Amino acid sequence: MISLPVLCTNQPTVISETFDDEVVAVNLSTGSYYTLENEAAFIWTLLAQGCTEIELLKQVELRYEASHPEIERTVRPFLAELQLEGLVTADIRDGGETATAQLTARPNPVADRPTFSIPILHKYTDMEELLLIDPIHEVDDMGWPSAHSRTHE
Amino acid sequence: MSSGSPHTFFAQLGQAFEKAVAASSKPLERVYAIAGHSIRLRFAGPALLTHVTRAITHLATAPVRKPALTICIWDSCSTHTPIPSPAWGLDSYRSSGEIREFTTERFFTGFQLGAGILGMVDLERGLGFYWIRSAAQVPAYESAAPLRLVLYPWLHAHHTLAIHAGAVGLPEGGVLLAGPSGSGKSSTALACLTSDLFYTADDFCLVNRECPLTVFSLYSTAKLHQPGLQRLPQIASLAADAEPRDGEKAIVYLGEQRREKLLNHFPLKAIFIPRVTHRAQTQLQPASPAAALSALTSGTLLLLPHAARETFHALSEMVRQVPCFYLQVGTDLAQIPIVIHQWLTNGGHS
Repeated sequence: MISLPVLCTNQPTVISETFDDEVVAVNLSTGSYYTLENEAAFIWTLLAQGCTEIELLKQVELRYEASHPEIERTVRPFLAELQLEGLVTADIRDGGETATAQLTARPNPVADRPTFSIPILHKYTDMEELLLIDPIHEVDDMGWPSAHSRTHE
Repeated sequence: MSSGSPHTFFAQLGQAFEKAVAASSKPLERVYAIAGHSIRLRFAGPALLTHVTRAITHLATAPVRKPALTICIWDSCSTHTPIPSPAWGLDSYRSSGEIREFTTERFFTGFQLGAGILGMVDLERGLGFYWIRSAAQVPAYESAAPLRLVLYPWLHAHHTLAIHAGAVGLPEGGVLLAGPSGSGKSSTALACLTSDLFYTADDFCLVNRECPLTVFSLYSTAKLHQPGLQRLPQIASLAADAEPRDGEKAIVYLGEQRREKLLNHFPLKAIFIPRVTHRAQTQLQPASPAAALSALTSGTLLLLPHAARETFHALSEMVRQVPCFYLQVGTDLAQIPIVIHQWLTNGGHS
């Protein structure tokens, strides 16, 4: 059996909260935080459970009104962006297909499927900037550090 | 217990403080009611008294027999008493100031690099230390928001969140003003000083984690950049330093200048997210809990990075409990408190 990479949210480095169709996520290692809405939030809930890319694309197709090529064309770059930001990891696990079978997303009836829009990751870096504190430059006689310039307050 | 353990270093700090007290001709004590807790400040001498207490005068209270937290405060310059050498290496300093190996379930240890301030607190005993080399080195921003290294971790351990938000309201209820720096929190909070609303915070406040959610004032200072001062000339005239250095904010000590307008606590009724617009009118628009969480996240998680995970979840619980709105802040500042007041008095308590 070929094991496909299982995509999942990067725990425990990344923390997130889901509110209906919105998600707020924080990457604790970088200080960046993110908001995801609608399609992006739906994909996040799938990733929080862990799934292969194939299974994820299938779930998106069952929920939204869009062709498979269109979904593939927009979701793949989105997943790559999530991985680039360190929000999602890809792990090779035995039995990856078993894991994807446990996805709890429910397919929408065809008539009720909303139009699919490109999933978007909104990134905020103001917290990251505040973490860019002056490096330690000197140490005094007692061993305590000091900085030449002031920290950002 | 190794010589480099938090226990040992804490004990050494205690010995150094008592030496500083013995060396001083005038040890002092003050007590403050902070988020419902009696907190005693013990000063080895008078050098740091004004620097540390000026922003919290509005919370001063009568002495108590058994305070929940005692913070021992001294400087080496006036007491001629050094602190023990650090028992950790340079790689132990986290960018936020926490000292990695000396921050445990029981102890929090931090060093503010820019100001050269050490803070350490034993959460179990309710005892903390706050040290700076010299009173002359206390930066204006530290006097405006003192003791954070000791207060925030202790309050966090006592179900009280330090939150990066402004707060205004009435004794019956009020709102948090959430958003990153520069989003209009200070201008909005200060615009309320000339209205029937009361001022609780412009930048940092406390919220308990019990029901009902209650907002508490911590610092009575207000900080404004030059453009904000120009928009609020009545506040500019109160600034402690009328001409702050380039890029720095002017500081107003409202506990001294507008004590009657300060409200020390109120029940939380809503979270408003200020957004500066170029329209004259100020308006409210519904916002999602996710928008409020996002607005609160940036500054708040930085206040206590080692507890970021727990704080984030506590914030998410909070934004689910109260309604959230965008406050589209208009150029007519007089309208801002009117809109907030109307919401609080006309159905805001539903």
